[in-house]
Amino acid sequence: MNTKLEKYIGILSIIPLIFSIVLGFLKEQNTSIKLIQEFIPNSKNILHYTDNIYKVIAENNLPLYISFASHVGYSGPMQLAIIANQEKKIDTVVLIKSPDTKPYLDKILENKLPNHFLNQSITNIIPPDAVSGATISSNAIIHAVEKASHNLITNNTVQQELAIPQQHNQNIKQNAIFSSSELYKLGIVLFLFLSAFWISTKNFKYNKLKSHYILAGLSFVSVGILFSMQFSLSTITLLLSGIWKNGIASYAPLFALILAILCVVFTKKNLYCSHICPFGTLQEGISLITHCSMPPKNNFIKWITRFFTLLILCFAIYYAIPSYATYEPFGKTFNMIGSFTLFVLSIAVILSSLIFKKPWCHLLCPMTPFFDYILFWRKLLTPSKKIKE
Amino acid sequence: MKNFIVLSVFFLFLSLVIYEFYTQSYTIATNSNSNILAIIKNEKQQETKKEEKKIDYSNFEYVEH
Repeated sequence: MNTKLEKYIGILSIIPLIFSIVLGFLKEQNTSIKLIQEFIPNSKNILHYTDNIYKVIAENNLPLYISFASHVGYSGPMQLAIIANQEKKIDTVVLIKSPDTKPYLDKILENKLPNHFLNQSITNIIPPDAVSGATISSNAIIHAVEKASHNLITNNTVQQELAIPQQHNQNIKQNAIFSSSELYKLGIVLFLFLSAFWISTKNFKYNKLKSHYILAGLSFVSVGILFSMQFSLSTITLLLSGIWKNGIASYAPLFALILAILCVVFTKKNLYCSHICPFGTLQEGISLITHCSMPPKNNFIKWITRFFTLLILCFAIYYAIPSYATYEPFGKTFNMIGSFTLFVLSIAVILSSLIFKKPWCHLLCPMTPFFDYILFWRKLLTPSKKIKE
Repeated sequence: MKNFIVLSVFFLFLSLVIYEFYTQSYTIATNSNSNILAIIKNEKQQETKKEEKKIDYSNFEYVEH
């Protein structure tokens, strides 16, 4: 394709990204009243107590107390609301927004975890056990309900209206902070990037190929199998939509993404894809069986992949749900997270690795166009001397 | 021949990815007009109460201990 046209398309493609960020932000504004009208459609009067607490006079003239709360799930905050009746009991639990992958939420709803809270007193919440296989999302719901009830019983007006004793202590779990295991993960990511950078330098005296295999193997075990810290398009959504500010279960994939971007910006090298990506290592390892070559470059494939990546990224940013951008087989391969389609895709990639070297990376991986785009802006903003001349 | 195989593999991946996106993201995001994921109401207890009322005692026998 004409390089000038390619340049214009590159510059213009930032517009849909900005639009989706802005429209997504506007969509999130002033939604509490709209939400209340949606889950209590025939409410007669809505009284605003605080930003998170509302009193609603229902159709039968009985007051209902609504409390909004959120707690960090796997990919961001799980938002919910509880509705308490005059008897100080939880009448309804409303799950509003979950940035987590859909199979997790389905599992929680199948196991009827939120139902355990129904009819419980807001002054004494007895939490149920987390659903096995969806522990982080379950705990997010449990802690969010605890927070919502805590907000209600500590509100002065609600205390007076429902005759709740003022000094009501309840231990509320705060959003996740950096734990020692989290620091350990961040340390591993940093070590892998520093090693990759060292291997890629001219001063590296040892065998580069062997060192690459050792580093890729280490990354495969640590980033892929042990801790599943591989970043994906959903991590980019997380970064661009600003969901990470409200807390996420693990910052390691985000940290890896930022380090990978910095590497592209400062060294013009995509160190993550070439040395660290565990899914790339898996494909490379399988390709060694047949010693096959990379698929030939094709402009049609390149542009379809770029367009598709941009489209899905804008979509997920607009809805501010990172899991909407999850179509890569990474999660299914290392974590068994995802649908049956992703399982079929993983098998297809593994089998086609016997025909071509790194087929996913070269054909449809969204990370390739993403890093190409970062490099494009890097070259556009800081042109090298050779181009200037 | 090689190009044909590459394109076949690419379209296989693409069709799976589009299907995944359509079923897991697009349909969920756009089909529901609601902003709410799920409403869990206290209906279960009302149902059980109704069921309790419907118990038929005609088949019960009085057993003398």
